[in-house]
Amino acid sequence: MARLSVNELSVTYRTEGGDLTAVDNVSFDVLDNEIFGIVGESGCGKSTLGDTFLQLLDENGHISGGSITYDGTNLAALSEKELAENVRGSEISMIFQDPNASLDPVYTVGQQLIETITKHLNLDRSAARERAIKILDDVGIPDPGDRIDDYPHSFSGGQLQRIVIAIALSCEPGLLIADEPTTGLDVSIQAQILDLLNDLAGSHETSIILITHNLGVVAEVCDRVGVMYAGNMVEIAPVEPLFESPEHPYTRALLESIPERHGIKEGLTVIPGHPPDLRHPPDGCRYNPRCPDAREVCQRIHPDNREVPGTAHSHRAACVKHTGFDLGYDDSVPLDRGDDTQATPRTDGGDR
Amino acid sequence: MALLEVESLSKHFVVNNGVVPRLLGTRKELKAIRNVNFEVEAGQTLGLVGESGAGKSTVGNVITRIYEPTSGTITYDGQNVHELSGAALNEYRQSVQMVFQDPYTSLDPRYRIGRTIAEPLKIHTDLSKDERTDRVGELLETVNLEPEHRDRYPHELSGGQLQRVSIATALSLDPEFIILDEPVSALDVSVQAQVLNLLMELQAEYNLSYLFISHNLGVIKHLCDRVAVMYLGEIVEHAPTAELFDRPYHPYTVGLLNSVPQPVPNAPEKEGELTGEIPSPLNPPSGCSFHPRCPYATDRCERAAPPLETVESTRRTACHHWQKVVSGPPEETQAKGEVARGQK
Repeated sequence: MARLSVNELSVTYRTEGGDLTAVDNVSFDVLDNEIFGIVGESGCGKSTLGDTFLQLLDENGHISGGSITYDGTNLAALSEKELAENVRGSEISMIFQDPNASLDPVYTVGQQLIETITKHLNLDRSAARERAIKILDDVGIPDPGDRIDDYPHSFSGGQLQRIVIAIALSCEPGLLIADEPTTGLDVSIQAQILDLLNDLAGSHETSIILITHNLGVVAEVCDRVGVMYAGNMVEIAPVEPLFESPEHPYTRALLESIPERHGIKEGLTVIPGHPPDLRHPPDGCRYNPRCPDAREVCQRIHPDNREVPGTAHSHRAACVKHTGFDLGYDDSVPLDRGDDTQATPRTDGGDR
Repeated sequence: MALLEVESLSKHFVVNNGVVPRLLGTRKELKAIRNVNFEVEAGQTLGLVGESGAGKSTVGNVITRIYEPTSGTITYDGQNVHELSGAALNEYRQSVQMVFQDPYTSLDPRYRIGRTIAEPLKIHTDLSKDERTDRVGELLETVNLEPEHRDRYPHELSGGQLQRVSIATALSLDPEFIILDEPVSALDVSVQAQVLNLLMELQAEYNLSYLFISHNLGVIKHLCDRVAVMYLGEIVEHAPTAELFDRPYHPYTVGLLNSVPQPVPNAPEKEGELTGEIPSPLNPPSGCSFHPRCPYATDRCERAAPPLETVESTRRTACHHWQKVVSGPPEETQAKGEVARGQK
C-alpha cells in the first residue's frame, strides 16, 4: 500500500533571472516499509524534493502545483503550525548529510533526544529517558546508559549520524527522509549506517526515502528507485530492472559513467554537455540536447513518465522511445548534431 | 631507478603545543605517517587509498615540501628532495605539481581564470606577456575548455570546469609528476568520468607520473597501475591494481573492498565488512594497529607490529597471518577471532 503519494508536484523558486522550477510535475508513491531511492546529479532537484515534504524550502521557494498525500492528508496544504504539531518529527522525520550541523553542540545528546520524545509522545521525563537509552542501543551506540549524558563533540562522525538517526526515529515516524545520510562518511562507516537503515526499515515499520547521488548506495539498500534529471522524474523502477535494463537514456548514461562498471585504465563513457539552466529549459524532453537517441519528436514533446509495457513490475520511464508512447518516434528523423554531441564510447570502453 | 622513492618516511605533529603542556611535559604527538615506503615509476600511477585519518594527504604534502618530514627521505630523480635549494629546488617545484579536491577553494575567486593559469608562468619562466597569453590558450585547449573561459571568474564555472582549470594550472610548467589529492571527490559521476578520462589522456600524451590519493576504491581501481593501502599512518598492503582487487593479502584491504557499496543490485551478500571504527591516531593500539578490528587477530598481533614485507615479487603486505587471509575468511569472523585470542 502507498504510504506517501506525490501527485504532479511542482516547486518553483523566484530568482533574479526569473522563475526556476526545480521540481517539475513529479509523481510517485512510497510503499509501506520500503526504501525508495531518489538519485540524480547536483542540481537535478532531489534535495528540493526532499525539503518539500516538511515544507523546509528556502524562503524564495514554494509549492507551485500538485499534492503530497500522507495518511489521507495533503501535506502541501497544511499550515506551518499544523505541520509542526502533527507531522514533523512525529509522523515524518528527516536526516541530513552533516550530523555535526544537525545536533546542538551545547546540549547533551540525551537532552536533545528527550526533548524530541517529550514533545511528541505523552511520556514523563524518566520514561522518556528510558526510551532514549533504548533507542541509542537500537542504533548501535555502545554503553548508551553512560553515553547519553555526553555532548556531541565526544562522539565520532559515524556515531553522530547514528544519534541523528536515533532522534529521527525516537517517535516511531511512518516515514524517514534521509538526504545524503552517508556522503561525508568513510566507506566502512557508510556500510554500517546503510545496514542500520536497512534493519530499521524492517524492524520499525518505517518507510524511507533515501536521497543520494551514489548509485552504489542505491543498489545496496533501495527497493525502488526514482531517477531525476533537470527537475523531472525520468524513470521509476524496482532497483534490479533499473540497473539491468534501464529504459531512459539518461539512466543508462549515468550507469555507464561509473568507474566500477569499467575495466582498469579503460576510457569511461561520458555524458556530453551540461544539465540545462532550469530558468530556460530546452523545448521538448529536457535531456534531448545530450541524448544520443534524440530524434525530431524529442524536441517537440516533453514526456511525462509512463508505464513501460511488458515489464513484470511497474517500470515507468519518461522517454518517447518506448512503446507506452505512440508519438511516432520510430518514424521521426534522427537529429544530425555531428560527432561531439554523441555519447561516444571512447577508446575501447563503454560497451558493457 | 624509480622517479620518486619514499624511504622510511615519518611525519609527527605535536598537537597540544601550549605553554602548560610544555612546562608539564605532557605534549602529545600525532604520528600522521609512520615508516612509509613506496616508489613511483616514470609514466605510472600509484594509488594511495585509505579512510580519513590514514595519512594519505600528509604523504602528498611532505612530497611537495609543504611539511618537513620527521624522519626518512624522499628521493626524486636521484636527489634528496628535502636537501634541495636554489635553482635545483626551483626546478623541483616546477616538475612536481599538485591538484586538490575542492576547486572552489583552491582557485582565487578574485582572479580571472586566465590569470590563475598564467601565475606559475610569471613566477617560474621569463615568457613575455604575449607568450604567456598564448600558452594559457594552449592549456585551456589541452583540458578541453573554451578560449572564452579565460576571462571568466571561478564562480561562473561549474565544479568540473574548475577542476579542469586546476589541472591546466598544474600543467602550465610542463611537470613530470602530479600529486592528485582526491581530484574527483567533489564531482558528480558524469563529470567525474570526464575528468578521469582527461587525466588518462594527459598521462599518455605527456608521459606524466601520478600519485593518486583517494578514498574511492572504484576510481583507484580504474586509474592506477599499483595501489598502496594506508591504515592509521602506515602502508599495510602494496600491490599491482588487478592483483590487489582480485586477491587482497591484508585483512584491512579485504574489509575495505567489502564495505564499498557496489552498483549491482542484489549482489551476493558480502561477508566481512569492517566492524568498529578507526582508533584515534593520538593513541594507536599496540602491536598491529588493525588488530582490534581484525577477524584474524591473535595474541601475537597485540604484541608485535608486522613489518611491510615482500611476500611475492610484486606484492607487499604487513600482516602476520596473510597466508590465512589469502586462503579465505575464518568461519565465524568476529567470534572466532575472540576465541583465537583467548586460547593463546
